[in-house]
Amino acid sequence: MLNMESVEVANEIYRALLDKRALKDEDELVFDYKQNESARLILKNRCKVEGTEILLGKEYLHLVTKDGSLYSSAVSQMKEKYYVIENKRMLHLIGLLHFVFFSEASTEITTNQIEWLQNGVSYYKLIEQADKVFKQFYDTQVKSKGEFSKKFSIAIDAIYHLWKDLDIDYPVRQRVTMNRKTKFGLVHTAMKILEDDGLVFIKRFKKSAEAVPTRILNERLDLQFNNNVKFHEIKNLINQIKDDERKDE
Amino acid sequence: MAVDYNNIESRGKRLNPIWSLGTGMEVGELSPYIRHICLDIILEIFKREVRADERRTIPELEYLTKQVLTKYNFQASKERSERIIEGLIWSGDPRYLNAFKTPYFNEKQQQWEEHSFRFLEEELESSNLEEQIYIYKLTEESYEIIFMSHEILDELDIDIQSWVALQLIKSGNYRDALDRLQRLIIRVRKLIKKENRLSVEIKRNPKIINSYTRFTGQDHKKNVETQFTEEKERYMEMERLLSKINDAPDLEVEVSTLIEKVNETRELHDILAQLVIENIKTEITIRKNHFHLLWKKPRISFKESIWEDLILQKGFADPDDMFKLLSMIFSPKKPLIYPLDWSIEQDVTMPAIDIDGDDDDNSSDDDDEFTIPPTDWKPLMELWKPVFYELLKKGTIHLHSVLEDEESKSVWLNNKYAIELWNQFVNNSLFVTKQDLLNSSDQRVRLLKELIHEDETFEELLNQSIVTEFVEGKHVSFTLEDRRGLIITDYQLHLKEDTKNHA
Repeated sequence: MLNMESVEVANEIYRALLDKRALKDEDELVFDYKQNESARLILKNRCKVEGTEILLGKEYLHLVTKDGSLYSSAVSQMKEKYYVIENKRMLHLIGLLHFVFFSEASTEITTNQIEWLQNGVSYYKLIEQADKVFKQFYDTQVKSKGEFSKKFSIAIDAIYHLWKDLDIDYPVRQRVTMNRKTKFGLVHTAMKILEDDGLVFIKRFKKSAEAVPTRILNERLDLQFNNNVKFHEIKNLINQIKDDERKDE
Repeated sequence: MAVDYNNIESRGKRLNPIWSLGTGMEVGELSPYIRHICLDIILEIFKREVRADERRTIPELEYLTKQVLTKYNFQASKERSERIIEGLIWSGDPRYLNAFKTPYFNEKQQQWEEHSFRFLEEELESSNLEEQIYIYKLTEESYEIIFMSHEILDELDIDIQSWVALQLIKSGNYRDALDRLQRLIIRVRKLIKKENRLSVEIKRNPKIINSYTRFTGQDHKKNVETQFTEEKERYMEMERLLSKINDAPDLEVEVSTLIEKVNETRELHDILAQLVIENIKTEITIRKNHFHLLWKKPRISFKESIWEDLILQKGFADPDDMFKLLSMIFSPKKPLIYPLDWSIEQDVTMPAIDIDGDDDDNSSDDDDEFTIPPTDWKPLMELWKPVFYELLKKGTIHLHSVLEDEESKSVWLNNKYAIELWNQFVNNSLFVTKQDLLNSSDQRVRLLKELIHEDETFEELLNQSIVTEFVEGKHVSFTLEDRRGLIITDYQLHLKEDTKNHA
């Protein structure tokens, strides 16, 4: 039943989640969340209204955004700030770099590797992988027989040409910094966005750097993407192409 | 003819690190000697580790390499020692930060698989992650190398060490025996840490039980208890031996220290035993009562199902859709509870991620798409000059008087930036010193600077507060080009002399 106490518990949990993004399993509030069913119900409703989602993992209780959320997130802020025609390709490129990293990070995790700090993906590996991915996208786009939507073809063309001509790194780089003139700088830009949200830890070395997925990221990737139920949502999101094409014809 | 591989798998895995030591780096004339050099470095790192000496960061290891090179009569250049340490930590091109990878033959599967390992890894306990200071320690593979080069190899590493310690005590080498015992303690502590981590891991991801059993060997569970009893016996033996030596009065101090160490080792060993048994208990409980946790469910994986099969094949209908997918991973930002104008400033003028903010080569002067286009100050100044003249003359000026006649009104309205400056004056009062003119990002200060540059009389505006005040009830209305109306409350700017500076 709904009662004042549950409302208060729910509010407290939500506030803490907004504040910390994820709460450790040992946290008392997480215990409350698991115990108090009506608080969970209240939270579920609040999330629905505000366009957020609470995920319960083995190690953390997470709060993430959904598309069209009432709140801003690193993604929406980045989008708002740089959403102008000439920068759009930069935005899409950074977005794709995130996916490249996620796909690399999810293969790197083997059950035997207990030390999370050893699970990093080096920037050079990401650059190499991005080279491959953008080339593959571009090739598909060139001989595209409707695999890609028009909008995506245009975006891929822009990204491919932008990325292709960039230097990998400055010849003499002093520190690991964000810039959009080298591949290294762009990869760091993408990773920094993740780091600011507590999703990766960046190890910096003299000649390179490495992004280590944190437990929070691993858990979120697992909960959000390795999930049969959500897969259909995601599939729908990506597969809208066919309908789009039909409209164009 | 069937080939008898005879546990070639485990032998191969044990030898792989030795075969890989010192390979994959270009060191020129050092090539024939590089393995010895690397071994010496690893031994020294081990020595430091044992003594809890934290001089194990990359620069310190490079310095150590220099010393080793000098010791062996090689030229010790900075580049050389840098390359050697990089080659010890990473395989191949150090920019890729790769682990060492060599093939081994999996006998069960009858196929070649990849054996991945490192020689050095970061020690979590002593590294300072916030400050990006990494302290390196040896990995299990490097320990093996060290123990193997001792010509003593046994299943359990505790055995080797305690055996060596025993031999040393027998032969009367106390100093060394103490050192060995210290190492033994560290080994036990390491194993304790490992078991602790394992217990967390088992609860987090029960499936690792399967790989863990494979990793430690089948008989591990059965023999664990008997092994510990054996260990205890061995320590008792050591203690008896020590108490015999105890009769020699000139060695009293050394012997009592040794006994202390032996006891410490045994206590730690007991803790380890408890942990191991606890973990086995958890494991059995999971296998018995929660076995469904171990099933491999057919699962969607991001890499295969979403990335490779969907995105790479079909892309996104609209490239912007990628942000929908991405936002599923990000947390909402905490809403701002600060004053509105401050938050607008944060939101509008400070990008969430400033892509150019941190550029290292100061080349932000070229074609930056992310910076605000430079304002053309000339027309702006022309508009604002009369305003400030009037302000200087009368000490006050009304907005409506500026926009009185239609002609000047349209000029103003055509210059968006000039109008925007008015709004900036509303926010807060302006007080400018000569110092501020040099370094301020405030557009109003910039305006003053341009004005002073043109006409020195404007210097009078310095060190005075320029304050805005609303004129209640009066409005100024505009009609914009696209016929939208705009009504703003009339306000006035006036000067407030700062008495301090004028006195």
